[in-house]
Amino acid sequence: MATSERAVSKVRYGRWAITIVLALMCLIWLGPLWTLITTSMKSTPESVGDTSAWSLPKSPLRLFDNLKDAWSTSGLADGFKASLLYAVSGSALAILCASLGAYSITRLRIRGRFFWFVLVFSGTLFPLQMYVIPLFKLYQDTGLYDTRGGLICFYTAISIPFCLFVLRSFFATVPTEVQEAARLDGAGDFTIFWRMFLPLAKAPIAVLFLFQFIWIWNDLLFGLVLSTSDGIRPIAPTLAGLQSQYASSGQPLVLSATLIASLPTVVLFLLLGRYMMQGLQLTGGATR
Amino acid sequence: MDTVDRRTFLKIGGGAALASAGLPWLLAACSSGSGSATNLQLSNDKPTWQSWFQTEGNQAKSAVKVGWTPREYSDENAYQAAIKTAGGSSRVSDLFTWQSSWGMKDVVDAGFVADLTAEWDKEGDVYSADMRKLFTFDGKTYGAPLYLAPWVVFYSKQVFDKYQLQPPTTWDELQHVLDTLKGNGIAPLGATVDGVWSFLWFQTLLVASDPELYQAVTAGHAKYTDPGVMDVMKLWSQMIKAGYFTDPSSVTFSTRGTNFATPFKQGKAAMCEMGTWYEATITSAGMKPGVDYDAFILPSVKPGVQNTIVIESGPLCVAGHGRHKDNATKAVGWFMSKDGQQEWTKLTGFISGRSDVPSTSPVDKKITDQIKSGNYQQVSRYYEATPNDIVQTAIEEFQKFMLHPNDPTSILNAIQSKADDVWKSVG
Amino acid sequence: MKDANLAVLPRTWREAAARRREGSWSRVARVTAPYLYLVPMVVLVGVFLLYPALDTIWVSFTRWDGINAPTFNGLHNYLQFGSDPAFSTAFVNTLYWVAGIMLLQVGAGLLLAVVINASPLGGLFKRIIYLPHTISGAAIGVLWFAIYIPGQGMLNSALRFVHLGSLQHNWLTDPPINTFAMILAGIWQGMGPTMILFLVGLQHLPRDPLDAARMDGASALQMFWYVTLPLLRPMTVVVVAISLINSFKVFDIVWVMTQGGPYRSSETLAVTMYRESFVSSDFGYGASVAVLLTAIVFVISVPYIRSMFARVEAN
Repeated sequence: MATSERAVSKVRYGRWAITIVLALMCLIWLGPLWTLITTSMKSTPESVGDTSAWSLPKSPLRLFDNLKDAWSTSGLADGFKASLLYAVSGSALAILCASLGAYSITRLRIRGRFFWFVLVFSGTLFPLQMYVIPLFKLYQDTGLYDTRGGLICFYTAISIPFCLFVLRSFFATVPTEVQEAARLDGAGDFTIFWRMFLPLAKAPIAVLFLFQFIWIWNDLLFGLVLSTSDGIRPIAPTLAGLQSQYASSGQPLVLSATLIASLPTVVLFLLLGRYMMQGLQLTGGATR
Repeated sequence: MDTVDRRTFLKIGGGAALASAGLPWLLAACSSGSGSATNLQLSNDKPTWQSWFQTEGNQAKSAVKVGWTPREYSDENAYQAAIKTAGGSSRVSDLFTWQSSWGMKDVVDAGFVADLTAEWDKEGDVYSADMRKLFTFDGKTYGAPLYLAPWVVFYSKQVFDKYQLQPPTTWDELQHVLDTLKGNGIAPLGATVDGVWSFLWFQTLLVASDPELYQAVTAGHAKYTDPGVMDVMKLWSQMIKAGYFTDPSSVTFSTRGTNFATPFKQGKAAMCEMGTWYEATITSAGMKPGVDYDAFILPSVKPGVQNTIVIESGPLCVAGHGRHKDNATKAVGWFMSKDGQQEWTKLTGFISGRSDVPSTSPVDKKITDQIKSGNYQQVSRYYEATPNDIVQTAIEEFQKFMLHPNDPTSILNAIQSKADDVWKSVG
Repeated sequence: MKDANLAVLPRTWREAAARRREGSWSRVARVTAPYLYLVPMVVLVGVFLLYPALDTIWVSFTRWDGINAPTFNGLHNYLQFGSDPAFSTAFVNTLYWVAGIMLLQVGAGLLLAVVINASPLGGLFKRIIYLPHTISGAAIGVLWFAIYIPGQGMLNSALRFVHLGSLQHNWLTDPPINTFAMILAGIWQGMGPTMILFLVGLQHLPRDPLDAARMDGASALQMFWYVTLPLLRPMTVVVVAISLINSFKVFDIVWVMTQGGPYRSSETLAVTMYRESFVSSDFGYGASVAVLLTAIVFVISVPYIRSMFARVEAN
């Protein structure tokens, strides 16, 4: 008996030790975010100096002035709105296209199901760098360069293979009886897709939307290569450009802009973090 | 079994065709066009000049019925790639800003830039011949000078006053200034490995030592391994080791880190060599021209060297394949005229390329007067004076040298070996 | 639940079916209709992904400056790898990234996954560690740049604060320290998913071998090493493959923090590809770097793709 009690208390102590170590690590982990927020609360002179990184902001409410400045002076607002458009429409269109495809591959009478799947899925296998140069040329030649439509098309395309992968697995699990019964009642293929399969897939679609939204929001490379003007350029390249563009703006402005650029995805995570982390399981952590 | 009603078929078919094939081009068609015949598009990579371009374009419109609207590109690399790939078609915007000299040669050779020889001839010699050279290839002149920026040393008047220093007119006087400042714990000269600016002190010291050699090296007539260049590297290395420069890792001329203007304003750094366009940054840091800061031209290293000043200038180009080439030429012609330049200098505070349009800034006025009275010959900034492939290699090698100033030979050999390749392919 | 769906089938469907029986159906329409569902997806992926990927291979065999038309120059771009010092630096830096991510991110991620549920605050810790992953590489670059600035940056001031001023560094201009500094930023971003994937793997471990080992009185360490780790193998394969692939492709953080500089000392292969193409206008060489990168990634992906397709086949 005594030994098992000792074992229990050992486990309890172990838990506390682990908690303390992990808590310390998490504090360090939050350090960069601490800098981000406190610097965004400072004035430019306040942010310059040897000990300034650790000093507390004199008037934290300055944050709102800095955010307002960053929002209005640097093309950030344009980038923010543009990225919102791309992330929402790119994810939605990709899910639509991929679910149509997944439905056809799993449920309709077509030849070469596996071929079509592999053809589209191979879009996730290449590193992004493989697409950049010809896309730049293609966009220049067709007038898609630096247009919202061009970016929406690309973001849709890049999101499709992964959505197809997930939705195909999901549709395959829907019992065939469901489809047969609907058909006996006279429903056409498209009606069955639209009225049954899509609503059934609500949960994976929500997770896919979340993942693709964040991916598109955070993309730097294609925004850099395929767009250039304010209003079309997404938020990540706008932020990257800000660093060298405004020669006289200080760290507080630049970091306030960073805060703004990170806000949507961080808020999404704080609200839906559980689904996001579960979603990682659903997706098997596919990469791009 | 697998049946489809016709309506659904058409719906899906039409939708699919539209979504896939039609959509991109449909959307592209809705996108912003590239200007109209009397309101041209002016593409540029200078986002901070937006309001200047806009106002000047409005002025042009009221003067000659053809104006422009600026379109900013925020990333320089993307901008250059975009102009280069669009330059051969009529999709290119009718007006665009570019670099002069070697920075311009490839787009001129490709026929992307319209010949403006007639416009230059019309203005006669109010534009200096040295300047015109920056835009001239095979006897034809391309592009109008958008700005003229002599490279000068900006210095903090407060720091100079505090230690009773005068702007140096000889190298010995400069040496005294450097030692005094260094002795008082002030970083005398700004230097950075950030961005492209590592060529700055190579250019400055070589021009101050031997302007002929500078021109020969940049034109490919002399080698980087020339003993004269080696002497300059040794001088530079001594100056680095003597602590005359700011820590090149901590200071920048952009927002990537601490802009030089910050320690300059705080009195922690006293001088920096830059094009006069840098004044905009200094003044926006809260310093007043003539009161808080002033400028001088760096003296020659040895007496008897021809007075030489580095100038930087970029063209406003008319696209060779643009849809409204004639109108664009007309608008640029007005921009080069006295009226156009007066408006432009009033807006920007820049130095005009025209000798009959005075500068609005007291600091610039003093410099332009000195250039005139001292019979300064003008040479192009290193960045444009030699082919870009050599510049890129040189910038990297100079960055290495600034951080580890021990082995000038290997630095110069590396640049020369690149230069050999490039000059061979240029022919 | 599904039965309920059937029960409420709308009447209009039946009517539509009735209408359908009356009409005469084109056989072509019936056979081709299912393919139409594929069209949007195949066209978009074909035009915007597959065509560019194939075209990159072609461009990699050409000399192309972006102004004049590309001219075929055979293997020249690939042969340049051997003699280009910037390329070898980039290659070595990329290997640093791979090693750093493997050792620190995958190693620590596994460790965290094993211990984090033992803490009553595990849920909170998980969220904190995952949080940076939702921030873009560009934002992380800007933020960590501010941390590493020599004078006023948080890291050097922290070192001075704890009287370790002698450890201060020019974190971003001193190779190879600049690469290591950026790897830390990369790990900060990537740790979350790595840990979560291991957690998923741990949750799905079969109970029996673990219970058996516990009955045999194995110590925690023995359990981990001889039982958990081998059982976790399938997930480890996935995590290692993903981390390898991602670390070979690092671009955002490096581009924003140093642009590969100074003197191209912190470039990775992905940055070299971008710089050669869009800064030096040597698109052919840039494309050949992209192709090499793809080849490396393909080789690494084989076990991962296999496991991915095993899942697909199982469906």
